[in-house]
Amino acid sequence: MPRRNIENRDDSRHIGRRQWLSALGLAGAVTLAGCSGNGGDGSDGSDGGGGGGGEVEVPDFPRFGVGDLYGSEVARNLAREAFEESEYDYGFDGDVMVNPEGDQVEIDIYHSAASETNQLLAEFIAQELENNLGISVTPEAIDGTRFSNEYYSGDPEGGTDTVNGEEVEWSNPGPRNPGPRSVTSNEAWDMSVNFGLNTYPLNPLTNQTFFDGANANFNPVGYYPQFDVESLFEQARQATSRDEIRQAFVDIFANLAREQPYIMLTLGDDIIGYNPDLTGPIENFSNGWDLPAWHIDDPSVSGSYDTVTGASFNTLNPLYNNESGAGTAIERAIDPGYTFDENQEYFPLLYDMSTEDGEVWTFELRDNLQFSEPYGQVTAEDFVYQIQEVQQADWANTADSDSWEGVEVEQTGELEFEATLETSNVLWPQTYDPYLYPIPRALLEPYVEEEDVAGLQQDEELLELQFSGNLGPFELEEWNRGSGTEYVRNDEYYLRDIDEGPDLFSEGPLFEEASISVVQEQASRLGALETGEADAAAIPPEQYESYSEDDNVTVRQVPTPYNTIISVNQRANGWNTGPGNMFQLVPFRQAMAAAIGKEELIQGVYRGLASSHFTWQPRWSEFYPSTDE
Amino acid sequence: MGFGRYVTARVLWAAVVSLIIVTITFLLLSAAPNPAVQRAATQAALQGGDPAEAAERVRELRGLDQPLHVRYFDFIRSVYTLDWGWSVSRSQPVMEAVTQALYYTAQYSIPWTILTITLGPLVGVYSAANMYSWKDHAATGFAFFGYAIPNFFFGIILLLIFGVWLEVIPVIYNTSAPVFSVENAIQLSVPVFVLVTGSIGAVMRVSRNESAEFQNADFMKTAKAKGVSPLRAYAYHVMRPTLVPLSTTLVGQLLALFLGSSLLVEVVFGIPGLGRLTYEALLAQDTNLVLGTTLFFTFVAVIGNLLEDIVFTVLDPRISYDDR
Repeated sequence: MPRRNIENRDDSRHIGRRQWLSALGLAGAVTLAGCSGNGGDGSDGSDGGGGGGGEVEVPDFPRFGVGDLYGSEVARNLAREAFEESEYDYGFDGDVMVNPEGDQVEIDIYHSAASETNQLLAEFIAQELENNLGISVTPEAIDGTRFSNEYYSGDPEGGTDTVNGEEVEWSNPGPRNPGPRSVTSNEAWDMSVNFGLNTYPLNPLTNQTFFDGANANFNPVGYYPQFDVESLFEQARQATSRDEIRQAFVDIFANLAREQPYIMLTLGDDIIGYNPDLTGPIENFSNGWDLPAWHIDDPSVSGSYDTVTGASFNTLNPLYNNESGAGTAIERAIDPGYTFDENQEYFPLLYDMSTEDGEVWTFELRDNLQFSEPYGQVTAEDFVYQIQEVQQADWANTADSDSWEGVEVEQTGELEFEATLETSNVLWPQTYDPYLYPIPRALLEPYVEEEDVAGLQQDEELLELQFSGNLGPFELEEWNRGSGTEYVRNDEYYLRDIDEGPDLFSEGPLFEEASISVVQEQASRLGALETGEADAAAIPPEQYESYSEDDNVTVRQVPTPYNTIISVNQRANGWNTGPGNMFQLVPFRQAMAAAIGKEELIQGVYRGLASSHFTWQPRWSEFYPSTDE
Repeated sequence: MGFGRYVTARVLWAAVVSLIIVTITFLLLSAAPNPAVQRAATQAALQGGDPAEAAERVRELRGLDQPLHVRYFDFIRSVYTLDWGWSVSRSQPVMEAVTQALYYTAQYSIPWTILTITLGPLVGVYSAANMYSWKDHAATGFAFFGYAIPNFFFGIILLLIFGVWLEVIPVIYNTSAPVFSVENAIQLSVPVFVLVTGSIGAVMRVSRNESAEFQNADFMKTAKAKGVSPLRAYAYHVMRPTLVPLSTTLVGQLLALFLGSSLLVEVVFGIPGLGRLTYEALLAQDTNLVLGTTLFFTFVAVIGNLLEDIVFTVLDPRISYDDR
């Protein structure tokens, strides 16, 4: 399943494949259990070894929030630096931070109305900022979608502004980066913990989307980098090996740690409870990539694999889906082009990808892929047609259309085609941009001729995945919009005939049936897990202990790439407690980071099930600069 | 005015009311920014296109560049021909979404309503007959307990006891269970119980107090003196006058037969009914579906009022048509 860039912390619905936030994942994480993800190194994320790169020289990263960079004194000293930098007369009156009028600084922090953990987090932050910086912070609950629409995005206007003494133009404004700091969202806000961001452990180059100031796709907070982010990313982009990329990223990570564009707090794991008789789940980022080999008791075909999720699916049309939960539901019935195995190595499903120079990529399809009748065999033509006539067409507005911008595609054989990128990218598969589902050409043709986007979105064969043939482990039997999906085993599954992968693939999947039930109430989801009605369900951290002692449940910590951060609004409608905007000043953001005790946060809110976040990368990532441990 | 003319007039009036509601809805909608246009503009901006051009294209595509009166007649036609558009949050026609949800809601709301309007007065009269005895106190206590405890909380507790601990009911609602099957009866028993305890209190208390009035009425004394059995006396002489004031609320409750969906109970028990449909449509800003569910409720209310007025005149001959 492609990783979304953002996770909404309240219903765990990943808002868009091309977006950048994450939600608490309590509901959605369940479905992650059954889908392929990016690779990990097998560590549990809290004390992982940090992949490779011992020879890389690493400066001392600031570790705000722990040791001597934590506490009232260091936070206040940093805040004083910020006061000096500010043109307004902020200061301390005794223990209390005051604005130029002499009133205590009062700011709001938004948190998800639907997540208790998120609320606890906001309350903890409020308490720490009060104690260590003398700021009065009011937590406010809000629905994640509403926050995203009204507060976290604005009308794209563009414009120019002075950044680091240079005139900079916002030449490609979008809702998540509508323009310079003067361009704001509809609603004013100070701080928020509603969203976490993807750190892109497989391909950290993608992080440019957050930090490239005026050019960033995603900059709702109005961050202006004070280092030359563009050339550092350019340097990393030029790299021809992973080592070079790793080397190039040390500077980027060090600068981000210093500037705290978002106040970095923790990196957490999804905690998932499984049926104890289930063999297959691993505590790895790619947990679920080998689902066809999972089984209960003996490795023979029997029973049903049932999971629960909190959010219902908007669509199962593979061309228009942009949610991870629905992605899992789709991938029960149709495999995507590739996945990553437990060593985070590329694993070909429908097609293998290879390149010499990172610029021209060859896709080789397997020869035993069949659509349902009347569509026949899956050929390169189906993919090329889909890319050229739908993904790259202006009218179609598919979920992944921007993945294919500027990519030239050409069919070179019945089962082979080539894609030429504008610039070389040795980690192209890791971006999930070339991640495709097969769709029969004949199914698409009528809509392409008419340029009928509504028809394509509403096509029943696409919505019900009726063309899936032998392309997935199960066949979709029913999609009940309110209650979820039900599947039966696909006896013709192509994966049984491949040479790669675990031996059990030759018999997979090892269940007669499968289902994904939409159950909104968390207590009901957990109840279903306990009684065995569900084989997997996400567990909130506050209940980790009770479930890890429960014989009916096996609890696993599955690393995720999403972090926990405070978004601080550096735009003109942020900092609503007085003149100016202190969030724009690096020392002030550092002061906030230093005022929030990471260890206390991890113990108090996450029950020890998270690790502190200093580097914009999880510790198990191969790009994590290990010597700052 | 004769009965026939009265009914005709009422039906016409109902049609006018529904037309007024639809017209107001249309005006509000056309005044509000269209989310589809905004989405297209946003999408275009994200992909480096021209937002204004994209918005214009969507406007043309959806016929929003037509004059207001043309769009108005289109809208009226679609509403009355039940072509309510496409729900983007569920990827199905709105009409299909509403009927699907109604199918699940009806399965618990029909038994719920029937039990409430039959058990409520019965327990109330029984309570009155045994006033201030321990039976009365027990019934009153039960009524207040059900009334006071929030449905969703009670639901979770019962689900925990019967679903998780005792494992006699399923935790995940099975939508494919046949309507008239033991499996369905079992899985709906707890939600129906929760809803009945929540709503029976009010009916029961009203009928208890009403019937208390008639217990010592002259006609009861006469009946008792004549040696009428207590059961018959209560059924014929107390229950009947008690039901007169209650009938106004009862008619309303009968209307709620299909619509008395309960969001919280649906959430707790995972029933994909109307309550959840409406709520999720609102959260997802799915305009067509919000409109569809709202219009659906509105139409039912209009029809309900019509039926209520007609039923009144049939039930009570003293009500004349002339002044209406």
